[in-house]
Amino acid sequence: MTASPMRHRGAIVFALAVLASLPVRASSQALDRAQRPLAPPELAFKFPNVPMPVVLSNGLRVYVVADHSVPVVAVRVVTSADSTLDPRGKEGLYAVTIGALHEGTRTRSAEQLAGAAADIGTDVRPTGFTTTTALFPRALDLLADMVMHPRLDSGAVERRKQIQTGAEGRVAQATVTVPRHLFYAMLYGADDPFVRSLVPTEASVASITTAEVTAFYASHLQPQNTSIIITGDVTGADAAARVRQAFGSWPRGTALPPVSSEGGVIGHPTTIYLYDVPGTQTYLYVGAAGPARTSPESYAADVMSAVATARLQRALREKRSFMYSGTTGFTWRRAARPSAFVGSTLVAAQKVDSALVEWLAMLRGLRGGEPITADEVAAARRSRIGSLAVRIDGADSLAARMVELVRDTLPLDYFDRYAARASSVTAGELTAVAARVIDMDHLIIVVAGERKIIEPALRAANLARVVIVDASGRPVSP
Amino acid sequence: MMRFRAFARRWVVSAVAASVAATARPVTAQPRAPLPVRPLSYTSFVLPNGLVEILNEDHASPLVAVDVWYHFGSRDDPPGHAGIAHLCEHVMSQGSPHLAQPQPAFYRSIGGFPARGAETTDDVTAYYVVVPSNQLETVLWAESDRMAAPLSLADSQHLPQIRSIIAQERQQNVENVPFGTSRELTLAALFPTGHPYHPNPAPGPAGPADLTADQLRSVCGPYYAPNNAVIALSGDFDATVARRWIDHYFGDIPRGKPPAHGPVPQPAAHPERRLVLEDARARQPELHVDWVGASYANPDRMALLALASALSHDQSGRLTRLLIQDRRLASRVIVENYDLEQSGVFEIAVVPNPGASMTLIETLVDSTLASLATTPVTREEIARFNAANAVRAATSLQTRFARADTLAHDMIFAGEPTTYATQAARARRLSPKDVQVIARKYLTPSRVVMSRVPAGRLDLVSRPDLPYTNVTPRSGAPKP
Repeated sequence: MTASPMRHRGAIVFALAVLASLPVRASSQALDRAQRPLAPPELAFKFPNVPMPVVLSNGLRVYVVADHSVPVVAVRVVTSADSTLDPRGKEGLYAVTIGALHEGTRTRSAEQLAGAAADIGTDVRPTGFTTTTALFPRALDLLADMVMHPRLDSGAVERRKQIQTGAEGRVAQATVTVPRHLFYAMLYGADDPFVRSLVPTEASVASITTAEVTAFYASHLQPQNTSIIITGDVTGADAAARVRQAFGSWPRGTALPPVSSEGGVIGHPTTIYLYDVPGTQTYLYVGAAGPARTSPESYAADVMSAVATARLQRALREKRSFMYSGTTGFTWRRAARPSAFVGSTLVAAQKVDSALVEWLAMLRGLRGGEPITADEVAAARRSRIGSLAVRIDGADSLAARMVELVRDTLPLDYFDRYAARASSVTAGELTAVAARVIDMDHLIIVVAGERKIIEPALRAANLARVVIVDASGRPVSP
Repeated sequence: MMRFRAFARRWVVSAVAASVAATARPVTAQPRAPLPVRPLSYTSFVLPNGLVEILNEDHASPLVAVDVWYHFGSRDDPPGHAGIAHLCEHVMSQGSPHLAQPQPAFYRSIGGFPARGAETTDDVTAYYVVVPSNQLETVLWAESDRMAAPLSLADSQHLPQIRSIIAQERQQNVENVPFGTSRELTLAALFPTGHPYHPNPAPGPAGPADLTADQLRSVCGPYYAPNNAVIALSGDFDATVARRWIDHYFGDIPRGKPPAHGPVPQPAAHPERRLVLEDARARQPELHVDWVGASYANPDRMALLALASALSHDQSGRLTRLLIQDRRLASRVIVENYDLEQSGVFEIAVVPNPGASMTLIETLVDSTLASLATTPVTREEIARFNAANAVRAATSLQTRFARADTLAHDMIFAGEPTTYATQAARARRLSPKDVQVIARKYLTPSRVVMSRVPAGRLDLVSRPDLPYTNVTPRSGAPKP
C-alpha cells in the first residue's frame, strides 16, 4: 500500500476529491483478522514524583508536581473546610463564602477583579485556575488577592446568595438528587453533615447573613489549614517562591479551624425505600457501607467494583436490555471515614422488580456464588490501572488527583501503591473482600419512580422489606 | 450514545482550542498581547481506499487516543427513517466478526477509557477510546474489524435488544431530564420541516422498527466506508509503526460509495417564533433566545464568538454584568454559538432569580442587543476574547483524548485538522466593526424565543401579551 503525506488543507481536499473519483476496487487481498494481535507487556503505572510540600512560615503548604509536557499550569486551593461544616439550617454557607471571595477585594471591585482575569484570558476562581505558563504569575496574584483580601460586603454576599440559590435550583430539579440523597441518608443518617450538604435549600441560603459569611471565612480559611497545589509547567523552587511572594503576608490564624463532625454508618436491615415520583423511568441506588480509603482492603475492594460494573453491564444491559448505562464503585470519604459501595442506574418502571432480581443475584455471585474468573480479574486490573493513567493526563487531571491526596490525607505515593496492589490482586482476594463489603443483610436499595406501577411488583417479588418514603426519607403511611 | 456534541460542548474544545507544541518555557514574560495559537503538530496521510489518517505523536504519557469518525450523522437519516444513524451506531458497538463482545466492554478489559466510546451527532458518528500505548495495535485491529464488516450484527437476534437500549437512552437523557426535549424543539423551530437539521421524531426514538436487517445495512452500510472516515491518533506511539499498522489493518478494506453530502440550505427569514415549554420536574424557569448561527468553518463564526464573549464573559460580559451584578435578575447567563457542520445556533440563555420577571429580562436582553448599533463591541472586549482563546488554546488540549477528538473533528468539519488555530489567528484581526456587522447579520427578527417554565406556571412566560405556541410534549412531561 502507498500513502502520501499531506500537511495542507488544499492538498488534502484535492486528494480526497481525486480519490473520491476513483472507481470502486475490490480488495486485492483481504486481511485475516481472526487472530488478535498480541499486545506487548504493559508499562508499570508511575505517578509523577511528588516532593514533600514546602511549608511557609504562616503554615500554608505548597505542593508542586512538575509536568513540562505542555505549557500549562494548574493551581488548586485546598482547605480543610468544606460544606460539611455548614451549621444546621445554614446549608450553603461554605459555598456562599467561597463564592463571595470572587466578588471583590479590598482594592478591586467585583468588576475590576473580573476585568483583570479577563485581561489575561484566565478564569481565576477562589478555588484555583488553569492557565498558560507565561500567565501563571499574574493569575496567582489575583488568586491570592481573592483568598486573602476579600471584600465580603453585603453586596458581595447577596449576589452570591442569588447565584447559589440558582445553582441549588438546578440541583433540586435533577432526577438524581432525591434518590442519591435518600441512599446516603439511609447509610449515614439524615443528620450527618455530608448528607445535609447534598440537599441545600433555598430557605437556608436565604437566611445566611453577611456576618455569618465573614465569621465563617475568618474561622475556616486560614493559611495553616490551606494547601496550594500547583501542577504543570513549573519548577518546584520557582513555584514555591511565587506562592511565598503572593501568600506570604497572609497571617496565621489565631485558633485551630473547627473540623467536621461526620459520623459512622447506620446498620439497617436490607430494605427497599420506595420514593413515589412520576415519570417513565425509575432511579435505582443499591449499595452498602464500604471500607475507608485508608484501609488495607480498599485496593482490592476498588478492583472488585470493576468486576461488579462489568457484571452489572452484562446482566442489565447486554443480557436483559433493561438499562442504557449504569455503574458501581466506591464513594470515598475523607480520612478514615467509611465509604459507600454503591451502584446506580435508571430502568423502566415496569422492569424494576426484574432488574433488582438480576442485581441482587449479581451481588450474591460476587460473594462467591459465581466465582470470579481469571479473565475477569485481569480485565478489572487493566481497567482500573488503565483509567488511572488517563486520570493523570494533563495538568488539570494531575491537579485533581493531587486534590484527592491532600483533601483525603492520603500518602503522597498512594496511587503508586494502588497500582502495585491492584496489579497483583487475586480472584480469591476479590471474592473475600466482596463477601465482607457486600452484606446482603444490610443493603440499602432506593427506588425512585412511579409507586403505583412499582410497589405491587416489588411486594410480589418479596426481595426485601419495602418502605414508602418521602423525599426526606420519612416513612409515608400507606 | 446520541450526543448533541455540536449543540452542547463543541465550543469548549474547538472554538478556542488550540495547541501545545510542547516545549517548556520559563516563567518570565507578562505579555500584553495574547500569545499566538500554535497548531498541534501532526502528520496526515490518505490511504488508497480513501481513509484519512492523522497522527499526533507525543510521548509525554504512556497513552494513545484513537478516534475513528464517520461522516454520517442524524442529518443523513433518510425521510421516514429518523434515528437510523444512531441505531446503526449501536449496532456497530455490539461487536464485530472477530470480536465476540461489545467494543466498550472489550476496551475496558484492555485498560481503555471512557466506559462508552461512541456517539452520534447531527453530522458524524464517532468511535473513540484512550488506551495504554501497548494496546494501540489491538485497538487498530478491532476498529478495522468493525470497519471491514460494518453492521455485521444487524440481525433479528440483536436488533430488538438494541432498540430497547436506545429507548432507555432517550428516556434517561431526554425524556426524564427537565426541559430535555428543548433542544429538538428549538431546532425544529429554527430549521423548517425537510431541512437536514430539522429533527424529525417520527417514527420513534429507538429507530425505525419496521426496517429489516438487510434494509438497515443498505441504508447505513455505504456510510461506513474508509473513504467516508477519518482516523486520528494522539499520544505515545511511533508514527512510522502506527502508519504501518493502519496500512496493514485498514488497507484491504475496499472503498465504498458513500452518498454525497449536499449543501445545506439556510432557512428563509420568518417572523419571530415564540414557544413555551412546560415541565413538571422543573423548579426554575429559563429564557432562551435562539438564532441560526454560523457553521464551524464559516468565516463569520469567530466574530459571533467574540460577540458571545462580550455579552457573557464571566462577570465582565455586558449581559452578565447587567442581569447578574447590576439588576440582580438572574443567576446565570450563557451566550454561545453552537456549531453544526453546515450551520449553527446562536443562543442567549438566562436563568432568572426567583421572582424575577422574564419579560423584564427579555426587554433588557433586547435593549442590550439594540445598543450594539450605537455602542459596538470594543477593542478591549475583543482583546479579552482573544486572550481567552490563547489560554484555552493551550489548556483545552492537554489530554490525548481532546487532541485526537479535535483533529478528527476539524478534518471532517473544515477539511484541515488544525482549523481551530487558523480561526484563532483570524480572530486576532477582528475589529469592532466586524463584530457589529456580524451582529446585524445574524441577530435578526427570525429568532426563536422559548420560555421554559415549571408545569402550570404560564404566569412566568415572557411577554405573555404576544402569541406563543405551547410545545410541551403531550406525553413528555409527567403531571405533578
